[in-house]
Amino acid sequence: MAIAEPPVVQAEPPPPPTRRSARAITWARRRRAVAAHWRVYRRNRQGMWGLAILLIFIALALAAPLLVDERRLEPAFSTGIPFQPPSADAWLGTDKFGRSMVDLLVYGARISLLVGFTATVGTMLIGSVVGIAAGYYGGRIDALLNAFTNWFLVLPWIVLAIVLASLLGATLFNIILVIAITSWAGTARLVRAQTLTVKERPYVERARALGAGDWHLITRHILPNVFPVIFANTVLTVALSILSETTLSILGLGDPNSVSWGVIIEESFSSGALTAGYWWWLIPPGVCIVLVTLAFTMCGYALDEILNPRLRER
Amino acid sequence: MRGVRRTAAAAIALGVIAALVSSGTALAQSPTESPQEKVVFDVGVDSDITGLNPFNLCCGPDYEYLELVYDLAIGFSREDLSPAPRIVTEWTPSEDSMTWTMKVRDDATFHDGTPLTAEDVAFTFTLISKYKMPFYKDYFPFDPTFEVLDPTTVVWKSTEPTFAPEIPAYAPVLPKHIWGRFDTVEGTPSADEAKEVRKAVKEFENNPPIGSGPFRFEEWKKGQFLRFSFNDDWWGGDSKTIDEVVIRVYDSDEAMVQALRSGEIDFAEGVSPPLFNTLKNDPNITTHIADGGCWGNIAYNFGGQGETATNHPAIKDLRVRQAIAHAVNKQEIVDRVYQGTAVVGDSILMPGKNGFWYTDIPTELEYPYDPAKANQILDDAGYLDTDGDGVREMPGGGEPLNFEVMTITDVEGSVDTGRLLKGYLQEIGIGVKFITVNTNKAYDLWYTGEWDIYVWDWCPDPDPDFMLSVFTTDQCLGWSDGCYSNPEYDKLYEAQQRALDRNERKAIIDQMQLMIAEQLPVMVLNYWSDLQAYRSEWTGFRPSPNVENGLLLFGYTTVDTYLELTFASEQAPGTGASPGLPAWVWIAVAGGVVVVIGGAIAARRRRVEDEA
Repeated sequence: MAIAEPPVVQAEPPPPPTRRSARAITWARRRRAVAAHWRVYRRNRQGMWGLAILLIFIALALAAPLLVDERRLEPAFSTGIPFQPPSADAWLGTDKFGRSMVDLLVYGARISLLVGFTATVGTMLIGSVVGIAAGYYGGRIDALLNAFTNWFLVLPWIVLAIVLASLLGATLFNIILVIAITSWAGTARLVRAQTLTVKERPYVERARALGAGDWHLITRHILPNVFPVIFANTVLTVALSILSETTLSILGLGDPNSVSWGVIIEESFSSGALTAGYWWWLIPPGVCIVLVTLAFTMCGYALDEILNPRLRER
Repeated sequence: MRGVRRTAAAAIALGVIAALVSSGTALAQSPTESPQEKVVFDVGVDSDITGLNPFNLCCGPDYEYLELVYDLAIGFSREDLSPAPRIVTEWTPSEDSMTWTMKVRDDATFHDGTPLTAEDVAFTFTLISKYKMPFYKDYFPFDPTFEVLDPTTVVWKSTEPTFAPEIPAYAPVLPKHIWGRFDTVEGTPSADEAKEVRKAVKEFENNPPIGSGPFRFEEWKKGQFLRFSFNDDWWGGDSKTIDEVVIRVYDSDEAMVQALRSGEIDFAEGVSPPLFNTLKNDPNITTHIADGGCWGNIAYNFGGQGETATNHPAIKDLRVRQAIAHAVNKQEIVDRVYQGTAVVGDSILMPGKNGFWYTDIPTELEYPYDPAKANQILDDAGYLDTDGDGVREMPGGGEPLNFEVMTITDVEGSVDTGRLLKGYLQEIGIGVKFITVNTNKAYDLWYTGEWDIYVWDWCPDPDPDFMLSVFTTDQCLGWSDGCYSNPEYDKLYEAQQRALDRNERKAIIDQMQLMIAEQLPVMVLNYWSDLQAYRSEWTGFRPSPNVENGLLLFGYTTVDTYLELTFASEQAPGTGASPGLPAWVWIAVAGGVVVVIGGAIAARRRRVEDEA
């Protein structure tokens, strides 16, 4: 079976006759691999659309302080009329404090993406460590970690997340923590499976016979081969993390002092936007969430197709 | 009282899950079907009761439950909230006001058929005062004893002259044959013995609760509803129309308002301001803005709560508190947070609920909104921004004025007021770090003192004694907000407790209100409204107290109102078709929520299945 090596699109040019260090050779190979992957990715229309949407939102989030006067987001300093429908002054209307929805959405992108990325890093770290440890060491460690992973997998995550969030309190950091804690199990499973196949390969055995230690094997041979799977998974996990943050915020467990898209929706809901018909307060953040989640998912599936050999063979 | 509140803390997480799990089924599951001829009055509330034990009550609909099932010894007149006969029909002091003779009515029976006598009244009072039961003990000052002369006479013997028996104790008359087992200590209990009894009493489940009130307890489905049936044997008369009262718990105000519009409930209690404004135009619904009897405030932590207290030293400086008072725009908070439904407040007693006792605070003690003056005060006091980061430091440099502000998610307006406060304080060079928690956690932090300022509320009794006691030194780690201590105030508090003449007492209480307004252990921001709405086919409501903004239900002794309600139209109540939002909107919204939550779960599951 093929492994997660880059697809060879063209025959490699013969190596130049000069002697190069091993490191330079490795880096050159990696650069070529990335370039090759990028060529495949570019052909994936779904992936390119996702990437485009994503870049727009990331640019908005990064440029937010330039586009929006942060002071206007402070309820005490907002000068707008509350509950105003879309108009020339406020393109998407205003919220209960008279703040412009456009300002809120731009700043909301910052928080939502921040939570999405940070929570994902946490998820990936926990998931990879548990998965590699279980897969590599096997035996009793595997049994123990696997039981632990299964326990988290079968537990309805929303219930666990609600309990944790209400016990820890509503701060942004806690929300990130809760998402990371409740969503690593799937990643761990995946990484463990990949580790199991990688560690049986002949070159791993050879390396071991040459006296390579656990640390060397894991960092030099297992991790590089498991990494593509982790990476494709990461992109999908970001979408889920953003969605999780939204869900928790809508349930009133988010940080009400921050401006994330989920918090905006929760606020509109608790202020009776639905009954009063303030659609401009409810729909735009919802659309933003859908777009970003969709974009991440599209990118994720595109990457999955490239990096997951089993999918590519089909 | 700390113990009581702590026990609730563990339950919150489970409560949230229960609410979530049940939210889907709440609408589908109705109370056990009652025969057709029964008239059910459905009341919507947005939080469930804490429990059935009267010693564990805290908030929300707890007190409505209490008054439905139990009788108070002395009640409140619905005219002006003055003491009114209930189980105790007469109370007469001796010449020296040391001995009060109380007449107990002879026609009251408990729901299990046992007659209610003077024994039960004396037992209830004894249980509370002997073991210093939290919530109720302050109604029985100076270690009184209670003697039963005959089945209709109780004598309250005080160790000092007192008017306390005349203040209606907001405590239920408990059946001695049920609660008697907790009175285990002969004579005066030691501190440890009393503690043990308190613990045992608080742990009692009290299900089903047996009282003597106008309604019998039928069932309680946690997170869903409470059902009560009219007590035919009630001493106070018959019910005109209503056979049953059902209190339904809604997870959100939005759902509650929709239920009112569709006729699923007849009365909605505590509607949030923006939703209330949308109800005003509905022809089938009558809206009512009542004096909520509570005031929103910011309170300061003076330290003294314990080793982990993290209060900021600048808080103790009166000039800092005065500057903050000048920086806060009370009117804007009323307009923006409460959408104009609250009223700007000034004193710790309320013009409506406390009527006679309230004192209008003179403008100079109200520290009117004036950020320039606030900055001036801080500059003069030496709090300067020496490092130019926009935040002032303590005089002579050092700790910056960054305050930890606790806001509470389930207290209406607390979080939003906090957010406005942050802006106001930013204008005068004070930084804010939020601690935003739910009520249960807030109680924990309150007692450990890990905060500088909090945004919360107080709901005083009609008699001012309790509210005034909150600011005494003795209440540190009791009801005190942040262990404010002022010996002068303490003296006045004791003096008003001993003042037997009403006008003499009023003069002292005026002085106390001015003192709090000036010293600012708390800053009164606004007097809240309780926004109530009901289906217009019901008539017979009358506000209590009898002023335009009295409470219709959920007030002092307003349970009697249930018995007087009738419905005007031919139509049976609760079946009226109402415009409101069409059902599909709700289905769409519910669907949307399901998609968001379900989508996340499904995506996870799919991912796992794909790759496992």
